Amino acid sequence: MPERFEQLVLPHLDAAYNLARWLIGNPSDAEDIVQEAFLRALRFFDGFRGGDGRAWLLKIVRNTTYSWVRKNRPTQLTDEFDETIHSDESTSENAEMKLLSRAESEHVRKALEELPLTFREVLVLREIEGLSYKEISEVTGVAMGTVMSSLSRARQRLRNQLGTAPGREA
Amino acid sequence: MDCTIHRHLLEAYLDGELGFERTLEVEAHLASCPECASEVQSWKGIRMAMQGSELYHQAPAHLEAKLRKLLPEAQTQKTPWFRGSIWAVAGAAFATAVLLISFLPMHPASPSPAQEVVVSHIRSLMADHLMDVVSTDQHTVKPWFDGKLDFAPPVQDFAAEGYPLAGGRLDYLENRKVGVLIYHRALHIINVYVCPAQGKVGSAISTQTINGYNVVSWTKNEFEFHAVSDLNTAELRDLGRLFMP
Repeated sequence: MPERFEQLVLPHLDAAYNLARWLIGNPSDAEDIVQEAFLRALRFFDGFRGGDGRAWLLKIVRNTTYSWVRKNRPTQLTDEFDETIHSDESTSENAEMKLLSRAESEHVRKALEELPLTFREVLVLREIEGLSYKEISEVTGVAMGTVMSSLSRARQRLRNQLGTAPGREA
Repeated sequence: MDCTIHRHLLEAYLDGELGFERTLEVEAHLASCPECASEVQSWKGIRMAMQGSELYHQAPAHLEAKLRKLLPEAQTQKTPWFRGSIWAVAGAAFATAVLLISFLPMHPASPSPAQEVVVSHIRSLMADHLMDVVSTDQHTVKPWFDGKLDFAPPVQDFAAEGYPLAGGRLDYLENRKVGVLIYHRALHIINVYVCPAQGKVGSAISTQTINGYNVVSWTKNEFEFHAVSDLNTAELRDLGRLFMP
């Protein structure tokens, strides 16, 4: 393993695992994906032009995850893709009012886990991993303007989910 | 500031993606608009919950140990079953093609040009995005585009008519590189997006309003134009007419 790889890429193992774990939903698959992603990263390391090692690695983790999903859960992507397009973005004001008191980690975690993959991805990158719009654009390969709008839609969806989650009506 | 335009700006503010001046503007607005202030507060609550350590999945300790063992091994025996074979190259090319094709449908349905223009406009108002070349002189702005685009956008200053040219920049629209001309009208900023019309014939000026921004579009001399601003529609259309006398 080249020394540069150890210095620039390996330190982002937690970020890699966190993303894979959120996208895939269980620890053992996430581990396999991270392992595969690091092997790919090492293979492509010659092509790494320096700069942000985390964004570069996360991009590979993301692509590896998507290949894995396509192979192992092919229906997930098409279903969620449809949902992304036809999403209902309305939020009841009542739900908004109750939002703050409900914003506890456990509720948020559950709501986030229930979001379609594309929404979950952009929120995890922004809110949990703390990436900037530019970094998210690097990782996901979509334009900055599109990052902004999908983030906005994802937030709307998360709020809907939090506001209308079953069994939590006051 | 108009409250209808705030969703994107508010979020950019929350995300720390606004420049100093815009941040102050949003903060001033929040002080006077309880609705937006509670919107920001509620999101900050959710964010706090998300950023707690409970939601961060740390890699298990054994994974790093495993990788440290696995990676050096992987490097010494670099894909031995392919070594020295022309098939390696062909295989890699094929795999790349398959990968590329399989990724194509991942992108969500593309928004309309007017929607894209509005998002791009809002983003241009953020820190350091507005102008690549700052000049009120069309003879400075026009040559600046040379070599940066595969077409030469028409650049004109309309200072005499009340629309002084402020500069230009490169941007992306519908995955194409486009030229953007920035004009001022009093305190309003107008972004005019210019790209080749790609077969569309000359058209009359059309108007749309999205998120409180007005978008005026027209086609002229094989170029497609979209002017976007928070300026009123009538004055924005006047600018459009200056482009097509």
